[in-house]
Amino acid sequence: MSIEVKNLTHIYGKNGPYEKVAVDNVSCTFEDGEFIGMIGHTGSGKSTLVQHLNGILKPTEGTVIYNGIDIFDKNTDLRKIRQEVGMVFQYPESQLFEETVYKDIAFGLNNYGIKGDEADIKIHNAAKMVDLDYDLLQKSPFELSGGQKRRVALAGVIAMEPKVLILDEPAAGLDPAGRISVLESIKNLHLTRGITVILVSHSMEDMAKYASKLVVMNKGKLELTGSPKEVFKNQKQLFEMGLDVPNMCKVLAKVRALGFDVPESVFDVEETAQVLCEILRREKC
Amino acid sequence: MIKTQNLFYFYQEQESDNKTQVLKDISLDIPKGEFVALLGHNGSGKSTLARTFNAILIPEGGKVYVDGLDTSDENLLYEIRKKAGMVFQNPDNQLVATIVEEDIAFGPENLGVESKEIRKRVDDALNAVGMRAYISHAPHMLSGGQKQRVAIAGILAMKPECIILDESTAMLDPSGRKEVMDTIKKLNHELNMTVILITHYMEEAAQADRVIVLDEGKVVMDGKPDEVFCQVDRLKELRLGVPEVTELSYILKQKGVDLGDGILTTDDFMDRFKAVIGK
Repeated sequence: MSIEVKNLTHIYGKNGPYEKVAVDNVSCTFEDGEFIGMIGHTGSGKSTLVQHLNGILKPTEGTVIYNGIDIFDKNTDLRKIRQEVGMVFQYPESQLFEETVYKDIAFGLNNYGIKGDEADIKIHNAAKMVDLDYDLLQKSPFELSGGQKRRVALAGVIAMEPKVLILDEPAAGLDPAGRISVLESIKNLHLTRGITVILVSHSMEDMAKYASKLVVMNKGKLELTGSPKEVFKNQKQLFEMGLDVPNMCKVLAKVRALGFDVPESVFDVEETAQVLCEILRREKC
Repeated sequence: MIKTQNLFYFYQEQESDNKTQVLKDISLDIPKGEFVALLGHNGSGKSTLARTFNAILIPEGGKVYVDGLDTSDENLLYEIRKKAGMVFQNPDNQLVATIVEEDIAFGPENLGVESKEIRKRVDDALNAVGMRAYISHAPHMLSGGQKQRVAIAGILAMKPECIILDESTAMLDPSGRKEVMDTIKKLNHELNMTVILITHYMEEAAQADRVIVLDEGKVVMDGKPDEVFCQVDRLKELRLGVPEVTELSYILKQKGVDLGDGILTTDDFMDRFKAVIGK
């Protein structure tokens, strides 16, 4: 079980005056159950690339193979692929439209013919998964706060019980607590249901915290892949691409430059504090 | 520059007569040339407050004065909007023309500025944000950070004394965020522009002169960044955070390593760390 991107190229406005190669011959494989973090400057092609994974965009060249099935083959049932590969767009709350939160979450399910008690269970499960109080289900989505709306939109996709969940900047514009809560919901979903997560984000700290593998896009090309430890080692290269490394990476790089032995796989504030305490303890002896 | 006196604001709830209080008795004085970061969780009222600063919203109780001008006086509207300009979150929603220079000329044209003067203002504004080289580019082909800098230039061309940024860095990549931060700090230092920055990035707020925190429509904290960010637990209760290096020094202190208060940047941190370790 995997998603395989094969020599995928996407050109917007091909042969027109504004022709733009957004994705340029990218090949990569997302294995089943991985938590992938995708980073890249604005315009690097991340959003364009992920919109191919459930066939929202059609490639100019190349293809995507989902569990051995070429999703762009004319005999492939894209509806079925989309049921398994769910996508949460940027600012998904702008897509809420129903009278109640409940109906909004139900919309996708109903479209796939899932109704009645079966839908009801899935809707409640999804709401629970994203920490949405059941009392909110009968409210209008437009009465909710920004963070709650975001969770409703997320629940609508989760209710479909996808095997792969693609999220484009799910925490953008949320306050720090809202950000943590949404990302923790996604992490729990990944852990409890074993789904594959592909998360697009500009926060290097979040990437280091949640992703097991990073994919770095630059000017339409796949520039780096590897564990956070492997990717964040390339500080200079990431800066040149308009990206960054987690804050704690910068602190530890400076401590390393003072001649101390510091592990490369530490990105978390607590762990950094631990490492620094040990250094101080050794030095004071 | 901006003064609020016992400011109240309500939103009418849908399908009922209930009113939700969004701003409750806010009295603030923001002097000219100050760089203020406005923090608060989603729904705390910070965007509403910012919208009263250039008369997009008019107070329902109390007063807001922009450079002494009362925002509830309709005759002063143009004058107030000229003094305080606003940059929003999504750069794609605020660029109107097909060429950068036309976009920047849009504001002053509407104010009836002479064409020779407009020419000068467009050039000056683009120079100020470091985008002179893109004068005849199409805005939609620019990167996010560049678009926001064009949006800022569009405000500058109206010669404001105060610029308000409502989460203008939220959609940007790390280098885009840095471009915008560097630009507003330069405007603040070199032109003595008053800056009001709404952000969820604590690292950005730490660069301001003053941090104001809103909760449930009230000002609950107001002080220098080091005074505000030393209250780590309080800020977490308010659904906010602190810069990561500040949190790092806070945890170290709990573990018995006291590097002192007021650490807001990596450089601050390293200086104190080196001192403690004797390097």
